[in-house]
Amino acid sequence: MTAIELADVTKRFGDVVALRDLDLVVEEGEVFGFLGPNGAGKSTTINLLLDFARPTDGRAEVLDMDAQRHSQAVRRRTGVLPEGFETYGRLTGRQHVAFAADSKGTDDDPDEILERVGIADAADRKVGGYSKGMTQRLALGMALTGEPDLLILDEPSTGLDPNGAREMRELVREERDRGATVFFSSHILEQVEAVCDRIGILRDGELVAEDTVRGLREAAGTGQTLQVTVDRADEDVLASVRDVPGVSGVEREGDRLTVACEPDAKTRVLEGIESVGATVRDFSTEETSLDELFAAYTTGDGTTRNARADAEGSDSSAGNAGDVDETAGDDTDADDAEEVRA
Amino acid sequence: MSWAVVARKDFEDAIRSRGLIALTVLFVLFCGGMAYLYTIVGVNDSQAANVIGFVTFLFQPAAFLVPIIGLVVGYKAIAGERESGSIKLLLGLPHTRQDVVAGKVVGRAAVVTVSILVGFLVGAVVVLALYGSFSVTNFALFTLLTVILALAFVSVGVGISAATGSTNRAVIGIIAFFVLFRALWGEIPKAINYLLNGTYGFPNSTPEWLYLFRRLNPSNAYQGAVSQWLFDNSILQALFGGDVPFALSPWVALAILFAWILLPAGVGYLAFERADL
Repeated sequence: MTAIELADVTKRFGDVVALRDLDLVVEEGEVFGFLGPNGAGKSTTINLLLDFARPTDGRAEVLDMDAQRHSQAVRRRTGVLPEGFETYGRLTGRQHVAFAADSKGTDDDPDEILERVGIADAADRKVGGYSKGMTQRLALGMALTGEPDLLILDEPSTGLDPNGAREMRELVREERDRGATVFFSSHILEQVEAVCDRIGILRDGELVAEDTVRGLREAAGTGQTLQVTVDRADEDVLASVRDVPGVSGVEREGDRLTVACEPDAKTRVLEGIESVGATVRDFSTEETSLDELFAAYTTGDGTTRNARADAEGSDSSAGNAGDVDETAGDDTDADDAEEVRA
Repeated sequence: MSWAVVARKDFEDAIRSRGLIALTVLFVLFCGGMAYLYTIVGVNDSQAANVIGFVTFLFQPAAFLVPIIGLVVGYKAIAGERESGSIKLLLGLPHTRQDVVAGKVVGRAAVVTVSILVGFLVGAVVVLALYGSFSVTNFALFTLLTVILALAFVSVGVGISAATGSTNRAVIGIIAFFVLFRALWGEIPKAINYLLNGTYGFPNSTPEWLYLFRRLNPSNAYQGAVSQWLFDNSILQALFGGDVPFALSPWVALAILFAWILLPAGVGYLAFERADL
């Protein structure tokens, strides 16, 4: 059984094409990360799945049912955390979850649900006074109500602090272990990477990649980042590195060079630096950060070279490649950041 | 019974927002206040006051106030949820759009009904205390017809709300509707006659169909049903030589009111069903 199947789906708003011939299959039981920058068409896709909007062309199926004609049946078995929603500010948290339970015809205990999403102590408070993060937790709780077969979470980490985002991922895993399919969208790769079996990247209404995180990494071929500390980082050194075949970009920061290159070019880079009389004091390699991977698929003309330059250029913090891996926190694979001493 | 879940939540929300209380106070002041006022300005001696006299005093102001209340109660029902985004929470749950429109009409109709019933009950107490006589049947019939009028306008308000994506447009919609049916309705056939025959209005004789046309206006249907059932059928009888056509009977007026309860919400639903949220 497929949880979600989009076939040749096109959605136009007037002259604007939000989705173009989108084909996408999400299998039952998997956690699927739906990635893309804001405006790529993620929410439009989700709106079609939930029949908030209708495709201009093509066909959407959810849980083997037509998403438009059998929307109510779809939503009976689907938990939804929408994006850009608003709560009923005058009703309490418990009333919200009770409303979800009544709507889905289950006898789930609202207090247990609120406990699960970590806002049990606010059950009797009016939701209008909730913080953004609490509101997000509440909506997640409403989505979890009734043990849905499919969870559709649109930017679920919105408004959550890192701890909240981690708890959210934890809940996603619990739901998957229960047997639910989870489809969630994000513009932040690290959140998707941590829990997803597969990832689809949407760009300008088209699916540009669909694979596992590892597969995407390999397919993108973004190679590695080489960090080299030299005794002098002058133009001669930079030029020598740029001339090395397989190098796609060099950034200088003090006496440290960040070199984007294919894996087998590392040695040639070091040789190139020393060939102009500079001394390599230290170097390390890092696997491409997910930010860069993401950028490779979503910016510029899609080539690795340009994407890398964009990613490096847009992030002003030092050592950006390493930061991402660290914030991914508990779920980062051990091979995400290997370090090689000279 | 998905609509019932929507209706109950909507009703709970009205309780929490104190909208129900505010509306109830309004109708208590309106009906109770008018019942008292009638003893001062309507009759010389309060003992001479009776329900029929009170209804003649009240039904025209009611035909003005109740439509406004109904429209105001209804116009945000769906447009407001679409504007804020809570519609996504609502329709993320397994409700059809039909459930949403029906639930909103029922929920808000319940709010208006409760407030009218409480207000008119207080009115009845005033009548009992001050008037020389009290007819339960007449008072109950008047109350019932007023509730039906309110439901018609709640349906119009929710229908307009369902058909428009924003509360701004919904406000314009209910104002346009009110002006059309309050001020312009009677002018429409006159203007049509001008376009067809070059004469504005009907100076010589009023055609019979014009009475029915006027009555298609829900406020007029209400006033027709109230006056014909409760006190005065004589004008129409005189006009038609004692035999009022069936089309102008109070039963038809009642049917027109019921049509106004069903049709606007239905039309609003059709527009809402097609919309992208």
